[in-house]
Amino acid sequence: MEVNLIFKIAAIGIVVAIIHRLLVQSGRDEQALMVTIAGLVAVMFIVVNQISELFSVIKTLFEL
Amino acid sequence: MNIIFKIIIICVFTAIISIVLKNFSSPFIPVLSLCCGLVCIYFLIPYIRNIIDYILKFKQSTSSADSIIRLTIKIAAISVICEFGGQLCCDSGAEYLASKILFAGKIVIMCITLPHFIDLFEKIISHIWVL
Repeated sequence: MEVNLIFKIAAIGIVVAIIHRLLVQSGRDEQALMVTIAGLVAVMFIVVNQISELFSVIKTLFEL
Repeated sequence: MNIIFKIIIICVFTAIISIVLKNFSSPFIPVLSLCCGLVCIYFLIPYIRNIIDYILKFKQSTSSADSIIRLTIKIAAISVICEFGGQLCCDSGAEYLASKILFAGKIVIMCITLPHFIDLFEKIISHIWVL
C-alpha cells in the first residue's frame, strides 16, 4: 500500500471527469454515463483488492 | 513523529483533489476518501503492532488474565473495523448506513462479551452466597 494509489485514483477521476464533460457538451449523454461507470468500475477493482488486503492484515494483526 | 506529518500531508492533498473533483461533480470523491483512509491505516499498522506487542508482553507477566486480554484485543479489532466503515459511509453522505454499521459492531461485541459477563456475574453471586 503506497501513496501512489491516491495519485492513480485522482488521475483517473480527473481524466474521466474531463471526458464526461466533453461528451456531455457534444450531446452524447449516454456515452458520458458509460465512461463514468467504466472509470468507477476500474477504480473499484483497485480499491476492493486493497480493502481485502487491509482486512487480512487486520486479521493477522489482532490475531482474530 | 514523522508519521503524523505524512498523514496530514496525504489528507490535505486528498482534500484538495476532492475539491477539484467536486467541481466536476464526479462520483470518485468517496473512493478517493476511502483510499486516503486505507493509506492512513497502513501507515499506522506498525504502531498498532507495537501496542499489541506491549499488551501481549503484559499478558505473559499476568498469566491469569489470558482470555480477557485476548477478548480485549478482539473487541479493539472489531471497533477499528466498524469505526473505519462507519466513517467511510459518513464521508460519502450515507449516515443511515454508518449508524447501521456501528449498531452491528455493538451487537457483535455484545455477543462476544456476554459469556464472560455471565461468568463474572456467576462468580459474584457465588461469592455473595458464601458471605
